[in-house]
This record gives sequence, structure tokens and C-alpha cells, in this order.
Amino acid sequence: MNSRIIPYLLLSLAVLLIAPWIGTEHIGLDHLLSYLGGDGNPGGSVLIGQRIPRVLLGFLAGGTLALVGASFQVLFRNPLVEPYTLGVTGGAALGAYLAIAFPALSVPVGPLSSMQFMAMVGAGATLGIIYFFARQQQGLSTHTLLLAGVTLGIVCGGAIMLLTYISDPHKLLQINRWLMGGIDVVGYKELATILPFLLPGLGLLLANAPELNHIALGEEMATGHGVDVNRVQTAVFVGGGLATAMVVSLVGPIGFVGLIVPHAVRRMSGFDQRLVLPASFLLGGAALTAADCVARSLFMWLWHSTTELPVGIITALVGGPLFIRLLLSRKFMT
Amino acid sequence: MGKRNVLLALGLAVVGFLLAGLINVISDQRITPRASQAGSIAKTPRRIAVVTPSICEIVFYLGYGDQVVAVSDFCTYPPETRTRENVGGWINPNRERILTLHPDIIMTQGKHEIIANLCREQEIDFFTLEIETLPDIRAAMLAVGERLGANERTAEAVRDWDAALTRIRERVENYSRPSVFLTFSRQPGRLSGLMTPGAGAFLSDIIDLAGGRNVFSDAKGNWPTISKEALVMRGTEVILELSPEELTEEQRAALRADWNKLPSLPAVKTDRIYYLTGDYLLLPGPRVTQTAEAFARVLHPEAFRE
Repeated sequence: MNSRIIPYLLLSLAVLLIAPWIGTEHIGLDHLLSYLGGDGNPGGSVLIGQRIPRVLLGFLAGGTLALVGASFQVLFRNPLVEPYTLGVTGGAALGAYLAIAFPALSVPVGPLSSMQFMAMVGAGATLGIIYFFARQQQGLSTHTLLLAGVTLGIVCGGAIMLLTYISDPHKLLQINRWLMGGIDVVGYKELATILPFLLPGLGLLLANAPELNHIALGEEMATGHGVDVNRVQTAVFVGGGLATAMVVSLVGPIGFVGLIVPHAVRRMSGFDQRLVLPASFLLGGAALTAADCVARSLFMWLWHSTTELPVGIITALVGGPLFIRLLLSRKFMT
Repeated sequence: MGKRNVLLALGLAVVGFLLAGLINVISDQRITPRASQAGSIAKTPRRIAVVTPSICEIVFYLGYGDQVVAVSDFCTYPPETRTRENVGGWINPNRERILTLHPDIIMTQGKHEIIANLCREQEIDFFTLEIETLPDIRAAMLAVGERLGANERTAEAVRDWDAALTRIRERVENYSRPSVFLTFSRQPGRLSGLMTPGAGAFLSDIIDLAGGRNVFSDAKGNWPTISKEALVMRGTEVILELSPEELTEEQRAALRADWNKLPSLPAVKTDRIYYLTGDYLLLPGPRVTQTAEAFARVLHPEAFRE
């Protein structure tokens, strides 16, 4: 890591400092000060209890997705891989949907809602299954992982369609809403709950960045350089899967951050994974936090309406065209 | 995975656990803004936020409309709701706006963990119930009335409502009961994905009350999707199609023409296919009296001839 990370750090810091002040309710520094003074100012309580946790979760989620995307694109040596390619989202969605459809499964666990908890179970189960199959062959076959992931995603999609078809219409609305993704949390406890699994996941990815540099050149080459390829692949797969599962269970599937941010970083800063991985985390976090600012205030700016948009809509509508532009630009290379 | 990686992961997991515990302890102590205002939860709610249309209509029908401070996008009746603060959708209400309006109760319908969690965090009363059948609607009116302080108007409103339904039932009960197939929100051009009320849905109860027999009253689930084959085998004397939105003449004609593909249905032979429109038709709320009357008028026009 070197000084080239500094612009990313500054950008993230700026976004983190500005984002809490943007939203449907106008909240100023005076609200915060009088709240901290102990008068129970509602603006201050909204800022502390809702805005800041939301900004933090958005940053952590966006950063995680981009970091996992960057690592997976190297691990699978495929520029189209994103965190969700492994079918984790499908499993999470199926879990969340089971919680909606079957009241027996709708038991909130700790600070997590039943949907969040079941999504976590579903994502974890999917990861376990993929890993089990990939392990059947000697070593960890990235090809098998990729195909198994995509297939499991399709299977989960089929199961969801079946459940949707036989469910009450008002439950459809809920799963539909979940599938759009959103980071509107209240308080810090949900965020805290995923940390014990999220941090090891992020740590495993960042710690293996130097080895990923070798793997990017090809597995034989990496082996020749003395890298234990299988060990690195396992660590990156487990770490990335775990981190994705945690994020998806809280915020649902939020597209494109994990796909385009790593490409953007590589274009701006080159191919050294020791820089690309942390920079992806910072840029991904800043991008999702900024997108969420737009999602929660767009209707306010346009029509003075308090309706919030799910952030997934913004990332797909804005991220999609940006990604295509990146693909068409001459300098694009991966 | 390698010894180094395992150690790193375990170490970070421990750090994560400690951090999570710390955050939990801190947020329990500091971030409970309303806890400081001891006794702020009034026994009888004075500021009501309501996010589902059924409960909203009940609250207004029972005469508590003046106390409603916040409604959702879907609460559009009675017209006074437009003058209340809007807090966004039902599944994803704007929680910042809700809190700045200081409600002392948030009312919703069905399972709603987002709002339940918000209420728990902020020590606001949470009210929810399931409304599926016609008796559920009556029970909901009584429950809402009781929770909001059971004023004179509540008992009177429920008596009026009972009487309105009884009048309709008595008017049609001596006529023979035609079999009725009810469907709604269908796209013109296709007779696929036909949804109908099953035994547990209030519209099935209302068909019964309005002097008809729901052909799918034995179907599993509240709103099953049924097959055209089953419909043809059972036959039906009347088809009711409901739409919350108004239909143009062309839309009606297009919807009507689809049924000609099933010429063996008695309802198609005798042309007893009716289109009813209105935002209240699919809503389990006080205005089911209007739904019941609309059904009774098309099922038994002779009973309404003066």
C-alpha cells in the first residue's frame, strides 16, 4: 500500500462527513448540539439513531461488495464476476422469502428481523453447498465454483417462483421489496450483529492481496512463484462468501457496486491488488453511501414527497449506464 | 486455508464479537432518546400514525380521524387523509419522518417487523392485527376502538355497520343463490393466472352475504390462483370481475371478449358477466358494506327493483 491510496481515503472521508446531513428531514448542526445537550431534540435523535447508522451500514456494505467483487474477479480471472455470481443472493432471497411465507419461521433473532436471519441462513447454506461440491474434485476448482454458484442461483430462483406463485398477493409485495435492496436501518445493533463474521471475511481478502497478484498471472505461474494457490483460493472464497452473505442478509441484493467499482479502480490505479483491494473498498463504500443519499432524498428534491427509493434502483439505473460507458471506452482493459 | 489465514480469521472474529458487544452496550445506554422522557407514553393514544389503508379507514370510520398525524401512500380514503402528513410506503415507510411527527402509536396490519422494531427502539406503542375474513373486519373495528379509547362513536359505528350488512342480507336471502366466480386485476387478452378468493378471504364471505355461492369457496389459501380447467368443470352462473381502477369501454369490451374462449360456462351463455370498479372493492375495511351492496345488486337485480 502506498500514497496512491490517499485520494480514495479523502473521498471516503468527505462522503462520510457530508452524507449524514442529507435526507428527507432537514437536520442542522443546531439540532445535533441541542440533542447532545440532553433536550431530546427529535432532529438530533434522527441523526444519531438513523442517519449515521444508515451511512455506516451503506459504507460498509458498498465497500464489502466492491472488495469481494475485486477479489473474485481476480480469483476467477473473469471480469464479469461479482459477489452475487456465486448464488449467495439467491440463497439469501430464498431464506428471506421463507421467513415471509411461513409464519412458523418468522421469529426475530436478537436485533435481526426474521427476514434478515433467514437470509443469513440461506446465504450460508448456499456457500456451504457450493464449497462442498467444489471440494469433491482435488483442490478447489474455480470453474466448478463458478458453475455451481450460477446453477444454485437458478435453483433458488425457481424455488422462489414456486413460493410466489402459491402465496398471498400482499406477501409478493414484501419479497419484491426485499429483492430491490435497501439500507434503511434503525440503530446500530443490526450493524453490530454482522461484525463477527464480516471482519474475518474482509481480513482474509485484504491479507491475501499480495498472493492474488501472482494468481492474476495464472495458476501455474503463481505456483512457480511459490504461492500455495489452493490455500489462497480457499481463503479468498471463504472470506468473500462470508462477507457477502453478511451484507446481503442485511441490505438485500444491491447490484453493480461489486461489478463496476473494481473495474473503475483498476482503470484509475492499475493492477496491483495491494492497492486495488483497499481502494475498491473505499470507493465502493463512498459510491453506495452517495447513491443512498440520492435514494432517500430524490423524491423530496423533485416533488417534496417523503417516499424513499430502494437504493438498488439507483445503483442499477446509474451504475448500468456508467458500466457500459466504461466498456466502450478505448482505454478499458482487464 | 493455511494456518496464517485461520488465525487471522479467528482473531478478527473475536475483535468483531467484542466490537458488537460494545456497540450493543453503548446503544442501550445512550441511544434511547425517548427513554429520558419518562411517562411520555399516554395511556390513550393522542397522535396516531397509520400505514395501511384498511386500518386507516377503520380509524376514521370510528371517529378518531382528528388524532391521525401520519398516513402512508396507500391511505387515500376518506379524503381528509390528504391533509395528513405522508410518511411514504407501507413496506418501507420513511422512519425519519414518522419520528419527527411524534406519534404515540403506529398502527399497521399483518406482520411488520420494520415498524415493530422502530416502535421497540423508540418506545412507541405498536398495533397490528390480521384482517382476512369478514368477521376479522368487525373484530378489527372493535379492537381499534378499544385501543384508541372506546368512545361513544365506536359502539354506534359498529352497530350501524352491522345493520347495513343485515339489511343487504335480508333483502336477498329469499332468492335462489347463483354460483359466482370472482376474479380481479386481470390483464385483458389472457385468461391466465386467474386469482379468486378462497374460503379464508373476506370477498368469499361477501359473495355469500350478497346471496351467491363462491364456486371456489373450498380452495386452499386465501387468494388461490385457479386453473381454467377447474373453472370449466365446476361451471359458474355469474362472473364478477373487480378492478380498483376505473375501466374504459374498450378495456371492458376486451376483458369481456376473453370469456368467449370458454363458451361452455353458463355465465358466458347467459351473458352474466359483470365489471365492478372502485378503490374499496378489494379493501377489507368498513366500506365492505358498499362492496356487499354492489355484489347484491348484480346478483339479484330483482330484489332492488322498487
